Amino acid sequence: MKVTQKAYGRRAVTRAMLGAMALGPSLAGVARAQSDIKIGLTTDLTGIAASYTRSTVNGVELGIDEVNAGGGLLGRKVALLVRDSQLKPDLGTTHTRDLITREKVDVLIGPNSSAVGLTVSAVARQYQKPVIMTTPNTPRLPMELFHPHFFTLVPSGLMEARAMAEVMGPKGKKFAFIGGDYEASHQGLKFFKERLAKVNPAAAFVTEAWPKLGEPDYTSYITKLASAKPDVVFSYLWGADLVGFIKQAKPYGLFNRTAVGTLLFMDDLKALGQEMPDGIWGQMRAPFFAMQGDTVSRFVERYRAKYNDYPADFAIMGYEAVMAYAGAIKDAQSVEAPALVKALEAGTFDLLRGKTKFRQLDHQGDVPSFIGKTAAGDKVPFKVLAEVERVPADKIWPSEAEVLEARKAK
Amino acid sequence: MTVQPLPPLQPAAGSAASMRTKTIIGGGLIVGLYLLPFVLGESYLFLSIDFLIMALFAVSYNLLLGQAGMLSFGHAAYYGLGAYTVAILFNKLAVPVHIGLLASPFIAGAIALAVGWFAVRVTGMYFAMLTLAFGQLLHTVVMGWYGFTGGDDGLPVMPPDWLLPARNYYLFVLTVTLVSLAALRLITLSAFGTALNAIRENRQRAIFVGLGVRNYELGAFVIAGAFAGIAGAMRAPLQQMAFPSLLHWGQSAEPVLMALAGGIHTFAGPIVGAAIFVFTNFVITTYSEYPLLVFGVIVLLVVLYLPGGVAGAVIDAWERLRRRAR
Repeated sequence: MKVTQKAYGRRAVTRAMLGAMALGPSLAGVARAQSDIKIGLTTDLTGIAASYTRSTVNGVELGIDEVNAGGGLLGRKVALLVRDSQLKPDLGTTHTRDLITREKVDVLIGPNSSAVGLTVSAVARQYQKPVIMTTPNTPRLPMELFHPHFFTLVPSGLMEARAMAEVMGPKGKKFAFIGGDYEASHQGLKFFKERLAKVNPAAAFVTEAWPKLGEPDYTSYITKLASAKPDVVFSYLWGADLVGFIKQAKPYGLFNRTAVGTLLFMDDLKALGQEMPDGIWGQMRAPFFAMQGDTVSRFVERYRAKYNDYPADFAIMGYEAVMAYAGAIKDAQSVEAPALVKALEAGTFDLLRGKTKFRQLDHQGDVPSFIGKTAAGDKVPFKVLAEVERVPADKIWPSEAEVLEARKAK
Repeated sequence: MTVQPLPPLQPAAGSAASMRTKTIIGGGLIVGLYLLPFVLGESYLFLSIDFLIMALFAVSYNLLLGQAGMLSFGHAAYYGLGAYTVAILFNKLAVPVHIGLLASPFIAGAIALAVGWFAVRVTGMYFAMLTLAFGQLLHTVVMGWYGFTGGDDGLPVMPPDWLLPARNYYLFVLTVTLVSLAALRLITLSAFGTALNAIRENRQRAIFVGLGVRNYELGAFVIAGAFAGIAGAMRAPLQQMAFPSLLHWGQSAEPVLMALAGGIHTFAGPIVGAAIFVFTNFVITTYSEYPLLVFGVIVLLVVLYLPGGVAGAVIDAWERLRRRAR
């Protein structure tokens, strides 16, 4: 009797497991016609960045749907192939190579994390396939690791830090910093300080706090910041770290006494909801509520209808990458890399953030950085940015001398 | 983890005829592997390179787990150090990757010696925890030392032009892996390897018969680390990048899983495990949004139904067939 029970139990376990596995492959590639124009998207669908990545994929999908509804490109349909790199640089290389060599994709869109972005860019360089980055923004990509097939639609970390210094610089004399202890954050502070010295030579940093990524308890960092009595706090926290910090710092009144400027994603605004204090200076890459024009409002409507959500910055940038490719493919009348690279370099693309051109020097899209003050939103159920300033790219991107210097130093 | 008494690593020495069969099968396999790049498409070739590297990584690990019964949770540290050896030599001194590879077992082995010197003072769970802690320590150093290692974004590596095509790199990795596996095989069969078996079977008795158990364990730890370093050194040029997650404990779990899935009591077990791991991981992340779910299910099935691993089960079945035939 015992034996039978055990055998039955095992069979049931097996059946349940097979059932679970059958649920897995929901992204399974549908067989597509050979003549499709293929866009390959290796990105981090699993891991801490999963919700950002989901937005990117949604934006890209919406863009492709629209292009196909309008009859495709060069008389061909556009197809999307998505691969999950799980924030692992090695999977980034493996899948991007597979997309190029086996699936024969024509163009690539970059992943979410900078580490994976570096490997995807290296593969694009090796196989000479155009790649547009929409999220990873380490300045190493357009500067020392640049290659002619690389393009980016996201302001680099250097540009963002400088934009912050431009806006926050004049707001006081005593500055403080808080940011996760990792490379981008250290670099961000360095770039901020360099620009601050020009914007406000009288300013000085009185303290710096370096919590580790994923820190749950900010109490000691908050008291450290508060006791230094800064006029301005520059934060390089984002995602769950930023949400944790804001929730814990609010009772200390930190946001009433000091001007706090921080990187900010729409997901953070949604996560905090009405708990988000007013008057924090947030820096965003593509906040839909601060972008004007019929194209934007039509895009937001379509996005909401399809995904029952508001488009995050990542969705907008993903959508724009598709639109830039569509424009360039029409201009070039080809999907071959040499013609396409020329068309991307030469064209001006009418994107959601406005007319956009890639700079010849580093293929950096001339996209602005958006900085505004948190305030109640009248149309959405979370706080938005008011008094938004668009810091133009040419005020914050590296000069030609800086770029060439970085490439020579390598 | 308690390691149960096991059958000897080498099942009773076979007859001359069975030796000849083994040589023919082995030789055929090697020739087949060398012909593979003329048959396979580029993408699968890259996947095969991935497999070869993981196979060496897993076999080097199994010298600890399968042979000496030492459960290390920090093996990826030496794998990652091998990758960084190549990357740092390339970036700071412009040493090409195939030359840098020669240095990797020495650097990885030297650090393994320093860590092992402390770690082998304890056994079992304490050894596992200590290796885990040292592994994470090395990971943190690599992650934070921006000026030297490039920090969390990693350090780019560019193989020379002749190594860039998939076919050439495959042949290069295949040769290095086969030579390394042959060396590891000789080590497992040597007197040193037999002593490790004795320690795994009964540590207490090994001490009583006069083996310098700690020295043997330290030796195994250093050798395993050095060969993991070679595997890592081939990884960096493949990804064109060395990155800190290569040293992370998540990476350390991979050889454990591969060895367990393939079978820790045979030399070929971890190689079979590496094949299963690399190919399923590729298929799963290509077609599914829930790779961890699927892989977890596979590991669970193997552990529940094939406790000796896939290779162990195949060998068992083979032995049973032969016995019946006799």
